[in-house]
Amino acid sequence: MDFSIFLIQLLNALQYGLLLYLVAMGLTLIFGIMGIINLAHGSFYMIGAYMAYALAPLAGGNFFITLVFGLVLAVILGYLLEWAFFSFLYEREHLQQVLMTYGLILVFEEIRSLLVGDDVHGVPIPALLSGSIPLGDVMTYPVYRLFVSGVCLLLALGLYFVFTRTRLGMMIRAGSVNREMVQSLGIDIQFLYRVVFAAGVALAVLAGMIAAPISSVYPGMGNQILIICFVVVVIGGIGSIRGAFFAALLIGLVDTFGKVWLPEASGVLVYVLMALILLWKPSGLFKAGG
Amino acid sequence: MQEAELIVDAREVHAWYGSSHILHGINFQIRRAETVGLLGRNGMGKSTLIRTLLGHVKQRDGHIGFFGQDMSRARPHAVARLGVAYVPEGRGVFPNLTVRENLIMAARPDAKGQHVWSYERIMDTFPRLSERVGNLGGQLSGGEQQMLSIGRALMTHPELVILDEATEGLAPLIVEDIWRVIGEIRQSGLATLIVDRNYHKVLSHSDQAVVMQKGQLVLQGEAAAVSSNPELAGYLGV
Repeated sequence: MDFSIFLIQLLNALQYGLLLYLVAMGLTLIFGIMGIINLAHGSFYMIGAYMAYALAPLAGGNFFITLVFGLVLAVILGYLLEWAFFSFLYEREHLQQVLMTYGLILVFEEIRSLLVGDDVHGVPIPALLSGSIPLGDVMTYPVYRLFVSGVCLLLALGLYFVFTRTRLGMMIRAGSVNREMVQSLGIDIQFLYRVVFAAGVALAVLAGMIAAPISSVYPGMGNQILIICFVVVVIGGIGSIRGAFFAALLIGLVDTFGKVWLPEASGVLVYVLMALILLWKPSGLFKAGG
Repeated sequence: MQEAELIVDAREVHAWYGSSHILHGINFQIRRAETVGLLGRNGMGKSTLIRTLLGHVKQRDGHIGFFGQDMSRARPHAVARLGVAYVPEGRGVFPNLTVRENLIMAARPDAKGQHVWSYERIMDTFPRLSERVGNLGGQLSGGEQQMLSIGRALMTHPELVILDEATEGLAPLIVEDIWRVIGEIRQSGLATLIVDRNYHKVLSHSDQAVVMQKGQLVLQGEAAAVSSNPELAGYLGV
């Protein structure tokens, strides 16, 4: 493989891994830290992608205004969902969590079908980011993919800072191990978790929105990413945001280069990786809360 | 006695865990700057009483007042915010947070906006903690965790500190150290509610004492009077 092709694949791998991290980070908050097996998390990604398509006319076709619209809606959606459904699930068994969040997938897909139909749609890359930069003599790389990587990387750093350096982050981590004690210290954990949940939804929605111009928008896109996100969270160590970051990048690399070097096995490589890592470290690469 | 002088005012408090009726009509008060010892054998409902007052037991009935406000249906964080700190049985240290994070996570100033119990003062009070600020809570010894739990409570600037089995499972030297700190807290003018297996220590550190049996208060009064009551030994099973 010549170097510029390798470089392009590497950038693709990073972009995919970083995007995956954004969705998986939301899942880490909701599944890893708040303890709810949220099968509907992929639906938030799907909703994001469809919002990038459906809200665009309202925003005058401006991609960035669409993003802002979508994020505001995502936070409202997350807040209401936690209040109406998820707040009842914290103390419940896993089976009940699975049943309810699976039910939500069906509801979201049905609503999507009613509102925008079942067709595959494309979302145009915003003009400002539609260019390419040259790599080597003949190859080019699309600016938009670099933009996606950049946004994800900035958010990853920001989240890491909030999580490890701020009191808000400390409260969230503390709440993951002992809710009662957090309340006893005067913190309204019900409200805190509602906000964290909304943030988790917003991350998945944002990922869906910025992925839409690359991946196009299609029914069932949420389920695909959901499974791979659970793989990320499990490999990284349930509840660890650092773990989710490295696991997402690892999966991005294995998946992208697997398709180049071992195309016959590309579908299964990620799961082989998961199996190997879990054999070596049964609770994932990093500890919860780290 | 004025209402405002009452920090805790519990009247006819009942509590249930599922279908078992645990507290049967508890009446008791804690006044400002007063230390109350809560005694009774294991399983008599002491921790349930504390958790009910603090709002953690949802199946409850009766009147629970804090600082003259009706908190009968309040959620736990609202009770805590009025100035009630809880050092629970088992210490409740967050194992995945460092010592420093455990302390500053929920710290808030007193009513005048002052940080009387500053991070530095906690470090001075518990020199052992100052050597371990970067360690995770889960890496500490039992005694260090207990100090951390008490320090964390103080950093919220409470008017009332509730200590449930603060010396349980600790080495004698550490136990002495914990009692020294309880004495300091008492002297600084905070009200305290103490539960401890060592009833001599509890009675000698308390102004008032209450004794629980099967979810009811069976003895109540000045610590000295309770201490010399001939029925005490029977209630405590000693």
